[in-house]
Amino acid sequence: MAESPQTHSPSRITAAAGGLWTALVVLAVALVAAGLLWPSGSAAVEVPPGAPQRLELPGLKTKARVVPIRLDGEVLDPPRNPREIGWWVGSAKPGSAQGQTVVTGHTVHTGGGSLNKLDHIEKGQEVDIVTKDGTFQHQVDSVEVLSRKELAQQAQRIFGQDHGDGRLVVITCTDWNGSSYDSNIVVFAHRFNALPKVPKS
Amino acid sequence: MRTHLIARGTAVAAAAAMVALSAAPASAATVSQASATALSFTPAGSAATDSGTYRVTNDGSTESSEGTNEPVVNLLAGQDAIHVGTLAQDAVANRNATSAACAGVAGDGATLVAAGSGDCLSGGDNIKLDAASLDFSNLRVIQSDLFQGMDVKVQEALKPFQTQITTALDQLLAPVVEGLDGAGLYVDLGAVQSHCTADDDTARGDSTIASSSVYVVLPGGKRETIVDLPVDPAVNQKVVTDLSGVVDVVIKGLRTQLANGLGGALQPIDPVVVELQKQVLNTLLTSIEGQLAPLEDNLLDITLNAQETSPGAITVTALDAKILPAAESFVGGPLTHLTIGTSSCGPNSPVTKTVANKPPKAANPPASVPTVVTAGMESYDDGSAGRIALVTLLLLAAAGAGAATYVRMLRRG
Repeated sequence: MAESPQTHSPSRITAAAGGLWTALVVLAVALVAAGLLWPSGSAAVEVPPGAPQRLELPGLKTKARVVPIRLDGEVLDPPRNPREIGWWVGSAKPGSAQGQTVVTGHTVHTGGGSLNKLDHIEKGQEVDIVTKDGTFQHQVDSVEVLSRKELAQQAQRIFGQDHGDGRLVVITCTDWNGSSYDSNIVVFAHRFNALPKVPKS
Repeated sequence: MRTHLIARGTAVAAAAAMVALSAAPASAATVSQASATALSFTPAGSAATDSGTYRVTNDGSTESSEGTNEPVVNLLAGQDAIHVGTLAQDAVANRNATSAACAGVAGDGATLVAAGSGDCLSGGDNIKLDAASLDFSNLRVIQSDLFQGMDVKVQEALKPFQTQITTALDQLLAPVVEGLDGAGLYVDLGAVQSHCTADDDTARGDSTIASSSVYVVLPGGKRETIVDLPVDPAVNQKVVTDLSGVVDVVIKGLRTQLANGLGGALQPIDPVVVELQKQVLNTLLTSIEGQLAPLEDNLLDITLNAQETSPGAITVTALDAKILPAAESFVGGPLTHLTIGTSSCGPNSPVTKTVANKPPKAANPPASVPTVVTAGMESYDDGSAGRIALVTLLLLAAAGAGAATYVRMLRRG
């Protein structure tokens, strides 16, 4: 017995479903490709350099308000309130293309200093600086412990503004000897991202 | 009378001829001049050699030159310090009593720029320059140091064995020191150059040093940066090459290796008990650290942007480095003295000159950067302790008053 031709050929509904499926697959692939290639909207927005307002060290669970400080001769003294961080106004503003941003905060032997945990920071960890326009994200490149003599001798390298490409330098004291601190710990970090501040709706 | 006139005429003619002859050299005097030398170095144990000097003068009508303004690194014979790179030395002397020069060194790929427009070199790779090898073979076990600080009785007991102990330690130290062979001092150079200009009155010059540093490579490949050279150095800026980091690494290595070997070396010497071994090790390391002191203080005498001036003339050297005599016992070849980028301009006219260099930058630029960071406190009182004490006192006072009232009411009742 011969079968009717209708049972062998796909029905219109089946064909339409197949066509729709193919179209969806092509669309999905195209959307993924476009997502990979198309620049995101946020990257196009630049965060201008600005005075720092807050320092955040997510790996150390540390956040502190930043206030501007000036040199007293050749001495950089952090803010009197040890919970605050000082930004040396002679250094570059966060987000600058040249120079380096220098911030310093106290280590307090009995606890409570803004940078008490800095000696636990490690290469690769994140350090963020928040300004009124956004957040500059940095990654730690190196951590150096320098005696007072070494710091003075290498002052140009550490604090000089003729180099640095906008890197961040965080500094505090370390090596408590029972009555004072013998060394400074210096953290160098490069900027890898800038997140613009999201306006409140 | 006629004879007299002829004689007078002859005398006048002779005098005129004399004047003309004496005036002739004056018209050929130098109106402007400049010279440039890219590189000069003194290899250990040899005479100084350089890239040659390109020198130009102008007599008011023609510029003359001597030397080459196209030096090539390959032709710097008798040295192992530098093998690749681009040398530049160029100078111009003009009829209008102005001159200019520039000189320097950069890595391969640098672009040469003619003298007169500032720098000679643009771009290029960095050059690695083998400045010196570090030699620790002079380190010795000094017997008199070894027993210092020990108890007198212990010293007396050890006296018969001092030579034996010193010999044993010497034998232990020798291979450790040998293991430090191969430590070297290197200079990583970007474009290092100087330039100058002069007119008939003033001369000025400056130097630039792009991304350059001095570093030490220790056996095992560990790299210790000694100093990063400033890009825009002040006039006659001195650079201190503090090797305390290197000394720390050396001492740390010695401590580990000597501690491991000490027991075995001193085992045959019965009176040296275990407790004393640690003491001997400490005094030995202190002695060696003392011997390394010259390294820790300074190794190289480096002057950047060295300038010598005289009225209407200037000589600028971008980098001048020499091994300090105190450190010579630790330093071997290939170099003992190196200068890079020497440019000279003027004097360009016979009139009295005045020097007007570029306003000198601060002799000590660190004045504009911190050298001390006082970021440590023993403790901090934000007033909260006082507030807590006050509240406690108030609570105690209230409790006392309450208790007193309670007792009074009980008595009344």
